[in-house]
Amino acid sequence: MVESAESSLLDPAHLKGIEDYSLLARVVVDGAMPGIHRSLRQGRGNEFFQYRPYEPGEDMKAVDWKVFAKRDELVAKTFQEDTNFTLYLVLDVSASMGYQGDRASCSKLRYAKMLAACFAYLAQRQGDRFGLFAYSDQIQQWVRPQSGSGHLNRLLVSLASLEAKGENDHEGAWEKLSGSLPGRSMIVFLSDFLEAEDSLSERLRFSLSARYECLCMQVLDPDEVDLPDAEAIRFAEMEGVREISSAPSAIRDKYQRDMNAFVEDLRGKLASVSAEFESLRSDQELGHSLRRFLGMRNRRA
Amino acid sequence: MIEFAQPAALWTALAVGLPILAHMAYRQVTRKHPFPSLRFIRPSRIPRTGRKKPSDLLLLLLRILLFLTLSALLADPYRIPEVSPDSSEEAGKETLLAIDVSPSMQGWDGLKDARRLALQLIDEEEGKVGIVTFSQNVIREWKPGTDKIQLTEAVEALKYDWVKGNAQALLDRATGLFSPSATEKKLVIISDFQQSDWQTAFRDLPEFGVKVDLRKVGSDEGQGRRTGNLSVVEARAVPAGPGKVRVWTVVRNWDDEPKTVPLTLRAGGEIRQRQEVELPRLGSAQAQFVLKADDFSGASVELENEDSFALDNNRSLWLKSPPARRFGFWMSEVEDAETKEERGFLKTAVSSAGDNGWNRWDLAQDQADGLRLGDELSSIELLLVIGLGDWFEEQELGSALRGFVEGGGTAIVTPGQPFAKTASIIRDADLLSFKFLRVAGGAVRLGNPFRIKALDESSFLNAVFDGKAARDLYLSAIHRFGIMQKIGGGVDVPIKDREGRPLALVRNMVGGGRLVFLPFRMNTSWTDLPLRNSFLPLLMELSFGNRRTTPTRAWPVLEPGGSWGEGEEVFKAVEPGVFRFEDQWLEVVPSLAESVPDVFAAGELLEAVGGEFSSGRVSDLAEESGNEEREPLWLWFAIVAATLLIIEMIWSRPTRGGIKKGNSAHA
Repeated sequence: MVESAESSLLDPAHLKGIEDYSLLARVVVDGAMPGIHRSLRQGRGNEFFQYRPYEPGEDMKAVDWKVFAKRDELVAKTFQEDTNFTLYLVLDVSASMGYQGDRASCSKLRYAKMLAACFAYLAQRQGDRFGLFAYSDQIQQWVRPQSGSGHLNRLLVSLASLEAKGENDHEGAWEKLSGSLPGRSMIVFLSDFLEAEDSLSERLRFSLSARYECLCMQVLDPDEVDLPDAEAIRFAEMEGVREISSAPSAIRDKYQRDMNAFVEDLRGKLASVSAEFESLRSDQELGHSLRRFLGMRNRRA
Repeated sequence: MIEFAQPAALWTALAVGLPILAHMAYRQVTRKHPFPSLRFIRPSRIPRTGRKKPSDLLLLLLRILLFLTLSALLADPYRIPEVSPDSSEEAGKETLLAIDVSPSMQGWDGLKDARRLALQLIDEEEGKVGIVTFSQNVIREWKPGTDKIQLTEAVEALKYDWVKGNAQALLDRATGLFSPSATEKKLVIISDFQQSDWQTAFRDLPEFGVKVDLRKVGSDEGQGRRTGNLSVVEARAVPAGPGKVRVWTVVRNWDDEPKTVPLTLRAGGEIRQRQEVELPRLGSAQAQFVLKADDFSGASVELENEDSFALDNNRSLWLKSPPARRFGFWMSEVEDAETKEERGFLKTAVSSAGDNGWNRWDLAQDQADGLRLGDELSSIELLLVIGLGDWFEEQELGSALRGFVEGGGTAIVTPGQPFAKTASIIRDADLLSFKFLRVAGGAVRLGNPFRIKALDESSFLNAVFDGKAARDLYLSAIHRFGIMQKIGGGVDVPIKDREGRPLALVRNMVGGGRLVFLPFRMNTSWTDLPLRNSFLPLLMELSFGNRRTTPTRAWPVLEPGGSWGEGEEVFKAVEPGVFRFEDQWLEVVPSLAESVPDVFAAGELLEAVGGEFSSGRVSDLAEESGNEEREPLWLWFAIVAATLLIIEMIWSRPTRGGIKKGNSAHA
């Protein structure tokens, strides 16, 4: 029962109604996956975390003298410890990410945004710095990495404002991003990676460095996996003007073979530059992605 | 059973091929579907006919039905009600005997032969037999299927009609007398085919599925001409001096040889006078009888010998004089000497006008007074308005006088004092238009009178005042008169003085009335005209001369079938004779057209009633005669078509859902 409750909270079909990404992240992370992340390290830092009773022998700098003046009690302030670890969320928001087939409960972009929100929330709970870079043919949002709950809120607001539009320009975007990547970073790249397998591996070559780690999460709609179920469709390219009329039943097998080959090819090319790859369907629950993320993050930490 | 008024429109049913073709060419029209990448999408053949749903075939059937319904709607469907079992038994051959009972059938044994022939046909004809009798109109009908005993009784009781015949009435009515379900329709026309009755008749009866059989009755010597008929074609009573009346009559001989026949005048139930009349071949002769007036009010002129057609052998007429014409005066209630003298002259003159008392004038002052008081029922023909002055204006008689002359009456107006007042009243009442200058005469009125100028040859008075009569007119002295100038349009000036100044103005109204204005009074202080012989003819000619038709005084003469009178009370002439209707005396005489002995041969009428008797078209007949029983169905077809169209539109509308539910629109 518990498992089913958890899985329902991780199901995009149930999460699609939550517009507030902050709430959504808490529901997913704290509600459905309690204990998934390590406890927050408390120590020196800039972010106030909580009060606790002063223990003799502690540095008197930790005492909150205002509280002592009011309550005649020594209490110590604890701060969230900065981890010197940066999470960079890179989102492809090109028009193709706006696709939503009949079988999916949300668009690919919405799925990617939900994942990004959860990742940011986890990072904030871990005391990591986190940033956002969203692009299509131009940069839509670029939130420089910082830590803290206030920054989380800003990032989530930016995340909410993203819309799927324009053609993707992976090369141009990575050109701008790669120059400003901080050291010891983890880059989570959320995209459908269509038309990108050739150039992307070159652009992600930086992940060969020990300072960086790259997790590429491919978000596909179920329709992209095995085509829509219809007798005849005039397919219109979302990031172009081409149209092709075809009967899905007639081309489905070939399509699936080609798509699988593409995914495997992409996986291989990314592996060659030490980038991890995960292919997700937009009707897939979020738990797997979160675990994959945390596993990788903790390994780095 | 449903039939169609425009069967050619059923060709439009070929349009059902359209939905069938569309169905055969069925292909799924793909719906545009945005997709992230076409990288692995390959074009493929779109199936045209594959995997049709059962609903597609139903839709095709629906569309075919819709086209067929529209096609039937264009063809104007109708239904002829099913014949009930009772009437279906009556279906079959129907024979209608049309018997002419116009007056001419009474002559030459026509009606007698018709009875005999009709009785024979009633016995011999198979199927249902009916009878219709006709003269000017269809008189009686016994529809096919009437009991034969009843038909026999009807034939034996046949009697001629006095009204002039018109065979067209029969031809118009005949097709409607057959029942729509009859399979064979036969019209047997029994007539003498008298020329005047049949000369304008025409109807192509075979066109309506009716076979025509023409049966001629009555003696006929051939060449379309019958003999032995003499007719009294005219008889009028006219005054013949004091206390006498002359009966003037015309007899016609229709035969090709001269004849001498005795003609009698019957009055008071006895023959009063007899005379032989010699009649030329194919010609007429006059005869006159003179009787004492007032002994009898009516008489009849009769041919004594029997001839082939007896109905035109006598003629009844009134010996009474027609009613007198009425005249009256409008004048001042304060009667001065001048007015009194003028009234006396005019009354004497008008009363003595007429034809030795036959066309006499009576003073009907009560009628004139009634008219003056606005009584619309007042009847008067001549109104003498003398001394027109203030009294006329005070009583506001201008509109009444104008209404009288516009309604056909004649008015003579003489001036009052002062003349200028008379002139202004006439102008204000819009009776005449002229400008009054002054009154000529005055002090020298007796010493140097004005005289009438010689009449123009174009004047309507010229023919009357010719020779010695003119001398008397021109010597008439007019001592004074009002000088009038600038006479308005539409006004005649029949007489002038020798200086060319008008001495009478005449305005003829559209309604036949006339207004005569004399610029002097008819008394001796103004003129000696009333003392002269020319006074009476001048007065009457000014009043009634130059009319297109001179009314002759006689009783109204009608033919049977005619009517006299207006409104609710109308006299309808049924048969010849003399009649009194309210205060009117009338004469009804036989129709002269029926006396004409000329007849058509049966063959001559084939064209008029249809040349091909054997090619009856029953369907056309049903269309003609069954129009009233036809039940149009176009409304029902329109409702069905509209319903089918709505269903089709709902059924085939593009679905709103995604590609999974219905990604294609039907062809």
